[in-house]
Amino acid sequence: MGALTPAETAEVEQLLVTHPELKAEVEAFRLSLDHLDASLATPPPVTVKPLVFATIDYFERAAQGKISTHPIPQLSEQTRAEDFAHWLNDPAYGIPADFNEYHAIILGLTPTQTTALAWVQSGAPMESHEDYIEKFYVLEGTCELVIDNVSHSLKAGDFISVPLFQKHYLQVTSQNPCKLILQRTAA
Amino acid sequence: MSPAIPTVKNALDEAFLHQLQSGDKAAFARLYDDYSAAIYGVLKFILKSEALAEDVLQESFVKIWMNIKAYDRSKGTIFSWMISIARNGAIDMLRSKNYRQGSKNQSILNSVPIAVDRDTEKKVDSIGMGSLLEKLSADQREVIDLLYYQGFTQVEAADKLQIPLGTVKTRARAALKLLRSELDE
Repeated sequence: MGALTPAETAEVEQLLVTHPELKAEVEAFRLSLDHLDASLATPPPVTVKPLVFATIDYFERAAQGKISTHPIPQLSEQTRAEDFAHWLNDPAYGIPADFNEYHAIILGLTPTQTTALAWVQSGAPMESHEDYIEKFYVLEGTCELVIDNVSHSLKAGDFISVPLFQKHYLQVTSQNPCKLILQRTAA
Repeated sequence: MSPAIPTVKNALDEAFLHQLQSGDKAAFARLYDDYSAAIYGVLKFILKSEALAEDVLQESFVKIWMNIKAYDRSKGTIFSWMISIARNGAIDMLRSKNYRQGSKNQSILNSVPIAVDRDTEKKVDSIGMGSLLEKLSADQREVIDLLYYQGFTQVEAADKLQIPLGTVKTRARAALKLLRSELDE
């Protein structure tokens, strides 16, 4: 129960044992707060869900010993697709048969950096980041990355870095999904 | 169009819970679809930042997946269980930011507001006000924000607001009574 300290919570729990009629009160209290929380509902950015599943998948692969110790290349102007050959040549890192709009496979995950192979069909909505610098390297397809109202046309082999706090969105311009490496580094 | 509010009054279907706890990802995807909007809304309210809310939302659902076997009905509804995971993540985020900003007292009581751009702040506030919070008086809203969303104890809230502890309790009780009457409608 959010409004009470741990000591107060323990006290309440003790009271519930000795006074079962209070249980209804406490239930109502919880439900009121649930109701309040639910009333704040607003749709989250569509890119969160694929990243949640990519993260879960990454931990599962790690548990099965399937994560390689191959060092993760740092994205920069000097990046080339061959830097990622270790993953790109592995069929386990392919686009899924039921691909729909987004798919991401995390290549590396540390407290300060997330690197993922991603496919985007149409685009990604406007967002900005305050905790990490986001970098992209395009592998296939073409897209427009609009950063702070300035449009950048990207194609295979192109690299771009998004400054902190800058609002940006992605529009895929190729028929086929845009395949890219996404790297988020703690700022 | 207002987003669908999950039916928090209903206990989670036993079969669905069993699926979740057996590691069924399709079931987890449904859980995300049903509850992510509410959790994101709460996070936006606490963090006053869409960027941070997005990050904590992602972390929260990963934690929910990792800990789903630890959930049982004695912990309340799955919704309140998920919300408390998210809320704790947000409070941790706020505290670590305050720590990094090196505020002299290192105390959440003197926390420096996180810099957000004006557009986001305006949008977040107006979304927050469309909720049940709008039904509370400003005094009640302030107390609920500190106690429930920001993780302050009643004593800390009294200190921050510079009002007697009794007043904090009275306002909290009045707010909850009002919210409860909304629920009963």
